[in-house]
Amino acid sequence: MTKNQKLANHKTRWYWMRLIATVVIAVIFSAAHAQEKTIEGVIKGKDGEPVAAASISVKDTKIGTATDAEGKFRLTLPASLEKPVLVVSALNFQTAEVRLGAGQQTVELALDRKEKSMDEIIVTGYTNQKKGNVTGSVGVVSGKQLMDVASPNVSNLLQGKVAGVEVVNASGRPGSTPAITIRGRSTINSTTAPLWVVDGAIMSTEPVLNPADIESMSVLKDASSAALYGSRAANGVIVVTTKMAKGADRSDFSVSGKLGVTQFSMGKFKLMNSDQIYDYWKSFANQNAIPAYFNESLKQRNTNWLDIGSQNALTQDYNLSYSGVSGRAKIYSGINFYDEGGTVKGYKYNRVSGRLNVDYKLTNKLTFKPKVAVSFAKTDSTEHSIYDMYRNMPWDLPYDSAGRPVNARASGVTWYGRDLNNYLYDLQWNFTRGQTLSINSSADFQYDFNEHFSFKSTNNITYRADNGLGYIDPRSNAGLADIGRISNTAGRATSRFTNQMLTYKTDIGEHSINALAAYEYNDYTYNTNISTGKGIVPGVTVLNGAATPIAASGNITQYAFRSYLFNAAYSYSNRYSLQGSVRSDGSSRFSKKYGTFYSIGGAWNVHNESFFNVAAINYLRVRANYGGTGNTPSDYYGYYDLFGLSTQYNGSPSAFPTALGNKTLSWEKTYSTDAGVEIGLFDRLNLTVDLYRRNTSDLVYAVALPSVSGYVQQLQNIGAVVNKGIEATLSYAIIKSSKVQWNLDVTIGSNKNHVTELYKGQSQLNGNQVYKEGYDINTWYLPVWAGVNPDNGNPQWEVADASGNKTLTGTYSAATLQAGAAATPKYFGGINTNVSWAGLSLRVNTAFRKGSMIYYADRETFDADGAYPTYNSMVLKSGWSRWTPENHNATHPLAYYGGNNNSNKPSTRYLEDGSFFRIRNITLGYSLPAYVVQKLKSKNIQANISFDNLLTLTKFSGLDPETIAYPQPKRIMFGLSIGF
Amino acid sequence: MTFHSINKLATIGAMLLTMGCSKLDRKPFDALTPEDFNTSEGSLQAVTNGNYARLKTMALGWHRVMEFPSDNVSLSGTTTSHLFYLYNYQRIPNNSFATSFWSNSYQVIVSNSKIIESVPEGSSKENDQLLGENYFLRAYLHFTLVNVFGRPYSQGADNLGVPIKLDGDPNNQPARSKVGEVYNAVLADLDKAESLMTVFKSNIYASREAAWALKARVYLYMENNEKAIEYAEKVINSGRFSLLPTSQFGQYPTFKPESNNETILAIKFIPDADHPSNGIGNIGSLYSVINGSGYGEMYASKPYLDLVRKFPADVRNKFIEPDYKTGSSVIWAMYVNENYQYVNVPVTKAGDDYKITATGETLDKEINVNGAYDYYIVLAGGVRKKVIIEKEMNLRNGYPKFFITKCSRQEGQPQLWSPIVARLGEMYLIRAEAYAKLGDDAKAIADVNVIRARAGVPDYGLYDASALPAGKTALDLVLEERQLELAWEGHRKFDVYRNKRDMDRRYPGTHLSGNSPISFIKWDDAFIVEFIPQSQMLSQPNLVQNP
Repeated sequence: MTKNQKLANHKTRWYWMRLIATVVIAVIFSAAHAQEKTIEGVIKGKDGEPVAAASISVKDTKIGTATDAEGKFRLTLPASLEKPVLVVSALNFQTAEVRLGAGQQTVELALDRKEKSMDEIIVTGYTNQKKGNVTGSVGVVSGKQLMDVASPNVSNLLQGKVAGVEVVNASGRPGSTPAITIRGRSTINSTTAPLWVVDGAIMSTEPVLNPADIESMSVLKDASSAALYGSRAANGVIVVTTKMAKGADRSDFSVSGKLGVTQFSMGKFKLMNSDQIYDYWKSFANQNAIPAYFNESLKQRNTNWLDIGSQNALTQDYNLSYSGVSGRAKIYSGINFYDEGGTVKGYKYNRVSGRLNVDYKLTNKLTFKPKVAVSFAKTDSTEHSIYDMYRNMPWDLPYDSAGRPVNARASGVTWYGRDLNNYLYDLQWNFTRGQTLSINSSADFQYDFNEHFSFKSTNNITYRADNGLGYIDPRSNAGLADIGRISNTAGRATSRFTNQMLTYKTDIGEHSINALAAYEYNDYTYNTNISTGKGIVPGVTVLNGAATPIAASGNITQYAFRSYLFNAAYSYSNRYSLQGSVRSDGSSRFSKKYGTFYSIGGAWNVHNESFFNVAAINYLRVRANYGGTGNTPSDYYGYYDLFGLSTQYNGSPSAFPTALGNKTLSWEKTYSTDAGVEIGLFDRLNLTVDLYRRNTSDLVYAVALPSVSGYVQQLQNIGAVVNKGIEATLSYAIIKSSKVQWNLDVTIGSNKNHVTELYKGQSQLNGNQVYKEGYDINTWYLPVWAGVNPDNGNPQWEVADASGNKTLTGTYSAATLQAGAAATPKYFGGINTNVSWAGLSLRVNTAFRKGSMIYYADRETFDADGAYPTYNSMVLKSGWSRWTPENHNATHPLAYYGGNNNSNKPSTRYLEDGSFFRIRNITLGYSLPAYVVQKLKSKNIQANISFDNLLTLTKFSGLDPETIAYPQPKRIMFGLSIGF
Repeated sequence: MTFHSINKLATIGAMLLTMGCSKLDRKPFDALTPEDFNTSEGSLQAVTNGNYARLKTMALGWHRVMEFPSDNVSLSGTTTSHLFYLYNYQRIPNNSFATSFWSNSYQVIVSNSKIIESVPEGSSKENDQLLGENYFLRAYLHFTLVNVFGRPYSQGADNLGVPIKLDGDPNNQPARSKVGEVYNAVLADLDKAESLMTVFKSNIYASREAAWALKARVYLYMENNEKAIEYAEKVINSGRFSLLPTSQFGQYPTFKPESNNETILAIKFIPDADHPSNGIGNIGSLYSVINGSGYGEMYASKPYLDLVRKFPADVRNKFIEPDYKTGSSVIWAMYVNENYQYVNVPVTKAGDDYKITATGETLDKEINVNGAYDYYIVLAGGVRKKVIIEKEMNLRNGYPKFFITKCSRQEGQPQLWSPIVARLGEMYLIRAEAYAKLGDDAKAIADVNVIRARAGVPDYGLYDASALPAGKTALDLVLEERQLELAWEGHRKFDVYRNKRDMDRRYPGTHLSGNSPISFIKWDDAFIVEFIPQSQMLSQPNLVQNP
């Protein structure tokens, strides 16, 4: 095995010489032996990409050749060989044999790619490296693996696919993006979002990308892989490569469409109906406090507000793509139309996007690589109020006898709900609209001086324009006083990026060196305007139609980076790899501009050692690295003392001291150590395990200043946090026959976090959480709920004295805030499986999270023991019960009209286990057999049906443990794709 | 590759490098650095304006911490908003309004101090005026802070007050001083303010008269009655202010402050810009719904209604607007039952009588001082209750909506209002209280009668110092008048407790709902004082929490 690989590498290196030799030999042979026959052929991968330098030998002879860059070969055989057997072997591919028929002169063969070859190319941003040389931890997701649930955003599709990458969906609203945390939270005030890089250009925020345009995504998780991105890489880097045509002289069209229906997903959550809320009121201990209107006739009024506000909606996703190679040019172009309606009524999202990627080889040395992607997204919202859907009383009737929404605020209307808000009334007229235009354009080129030196220039401008319209009708409650109101918002973000890089590579015997040096500059400007006018005729949607301008605001914010970077990788004999990088970053956000970030890493391919000879082990490599990355403060101007100008007094300009600057402010620095083992067994099983420790210090900390200082806070580099964890990625080919393939992929990551240092050792509140030395950074800090007093049904909390002794109190304000469980999950990941048989394929993707405690704040109002009597209430989850004179061992206090001793105030009572296991997507596909496809003059036809979020297992009492309020919908999609 | 294309390449490369070679400094566009300022008059004015502007920002919390613990208000529902705990005395240490009030006050105080430190006295009349305004604001905020977070001066000058912050140094973080020390610092600043301010710009900026008015109040709280009278008189006699005539008094909040001669100082809110989102975040929003604008969840309390409705001619009735059910001809006799709930009994008018519509029973009636009738309902068990006769009203959670509009409708905008720091009416009542405490009932009652007469109380409703109503002292009447006159202007809570009186809140409102409500507050209860905000306790270890 080892020897074969070495041999193969050897062959690659001498590719040119062999090619020349082949040509020469071919010429000589054809000249000398006219009676011999010639076989011509093309060797490709199953993906259509030509396989260069594949070795072709004829069984039982010494005749052989190799393919050229386009995968073509020509072989001359003695005529005596009637049915020769060609043996084709190539790097990364499984060796194949093909018996030629008598008289057959051409052959075309598609090779199967080998599992997890060490020569697989891994995109790591500035460099592309062979997997066998990578010293860092990089999670790779191919475009194919990415596509599962219906979503316009790539980030939604990452969940459960890369170990250590936590993706938490924020909302079920169409178009919403999730929060991504890589290897744990390492900051208090700065962003936790990873850095996005698209085709070599650093993005200012998550880019707008059509998932179908993506070739692959690499997640750079540790110092060795990410440190080259320096001061912005501490949260990890997501490197996206978009598609480009492959092969030679090809022309492929692909059309695909998916159409489906989404459903509002309730989980276990139930709200009370009219009878239930009536009985609940009957259970109030203070019946005499209930208003006189309360009587049995209310039961006749039963409105299901969740039914009114939710719906089944359509999702449509159409893609048209073309990729072609012709002569010097390669092109990829994709167009997408995505349209999704919300499962909460009244919200529509749609997006049209297009991309054109071109590689044009001007000369053998100079290649231009322009790319442009444009997208235009629209949202149209008369969205029903989720808040009110949960809380409006079943006793309130939204429509009058003529079917018109009633105005709950109008005099004479009976309305029991405390907010007097029949949101349906204003929604008759009022709406908001949004449009986002994104343009991502690159003018890249590469000049290869010789086989060693290349110059690569990456130049990108990303522009994003958001426009919003808020329309308030004069007839609506919100517009009465102003006689209607129109508000226009405009935001324009421009990010400019340029990188000029010189690369060097060389192979000298067993030594291989790759190096790069680059200069980089990136700046960003955000420009915003909001203007509002009042006094409109119904239907007018432009400010020219408004009688009086009432508000105008606008601002510009900017930042810039300038960087110098250097990276060198050395490998010896495919056994030992060493890599080092240095980056010097300058940022506009500091007084002292520059900082330096570096990494070193090494890898050892044990399987390539001559002493190592275990048949069962295909490969075994270990790697380790160390290095520093940074996180830039969110505040652009933290080092200035500032007087804010955004207020006025009596219409005159005014200034107020708003910020106490810090001249020494600098980056948060994360020094991380990563050690990983990669092993391949029995040609079936691949396992990667990484252990890491990330020490983050100099946290950009908004030190809370006492107000007597004149300021609320000052940004200081103080405090530290440690993340350590283990990640594993396993892929297993359960069945690997020519007819049936069944793969199982499992990713799991576990991260432990604790704060090691804070300003003066002082704890700092963060809403219902606290930053406290020795504790997780997401630790809940709440009065500890001590259950219901069995004697009287009243709530109880813990009182803890300085020495930790605990007593109980029935007075909320006497309860002690205590640090307890954390929101950070103990582990999370995904289990994905793929079965294919004949033309059928089944894919099941799942995601899970364990041990994350979530605070379900909504229960403060709809599980409040009567504190909000005129809000609807949730039905108690199974296992919960309310105190009654008969039931003393209850989870819920005796209810009172007006509440029971602040029992609904924030406490650990509302902390719930947010663990879940979710079947994210099931896709069943069927590819038509080749003969049918050919008859239809296409290359492939596939039909599929997929289900999103079919099942979620959780103990959480609400609708969705991820999004809390707006659940992710269930969805069924039917799809058809045709290639021709 | 030709030489020509290398040349092109070099040109492109050079262009890209140019793009990359601009400076790395970026400055904010919506803020100035200290270097941007020179010490010109313009910047001094701008920063002083910034201090007033911050008072606008903090006005909501400031109003709520002072007004909601009073017996002028009645909340119609529970709420997650921390205003609930100001209202029902179930204190919490992280009350967002108390925190905002503390935090913003000290930020303004430091900004005041920065100006005071950087501008020398005597450079010009205008600069001195601006300096004086900053001294005034610093005094006013310290004074309000010490009354919210410390016990009343009259309950002991040695109780813990609040930190006295008189410099702009962020690192000087003083601990709490005693109440008496804070009062002294306030008076010292007011002395400065008084002497520096010589230009009267208008009543939306601090002035010498405003300093006198505040001094009058400070001395009154200190029970230095002579001084209180002295300074109240300085204001009254300054000739700058006059009581609004009765005919206009009912529209008090609708005037823009500069055109209201009674206002000594108001923090001015301007139309549109200070009425964002239809004024939903403004002070009046909780008190009323006007043209769809406002939450309208807190109403005039029953005790206040009883007080102000004694004389229908009292124009202070105009600050309360019952929200009648349109299209209804039903009339209610409203009373409060033993559970402190409103009960609304439909009645039918028959001449001077009202009959209970359901039973045909006639309500008892008694002639009152106005020559009209008071009506009574007789309940089972012979309990006799005075009723309010009203047209059918809209309810929220069973509470009739007695909208308060005293903080609304400035210049015609629903929830626009410029909170009043001081007005002339208060000066009369300060003097009245001081005289009452000095035992000069005649002078005290004379001042009370000025206020009553102006309010439109008929002559027979004015008091006679020689024949006070049975069981009432002159001080009782002054305090009653202060409640009537100054309701929803942030005085009532302080007036009750500094006079060591108790607050009776046995009237309808959600402060009584739930288990173990607080319905009667004694003047020496611990919880009449807000907790020092928890965030401050954490960031400033030398602070001591209130019991």
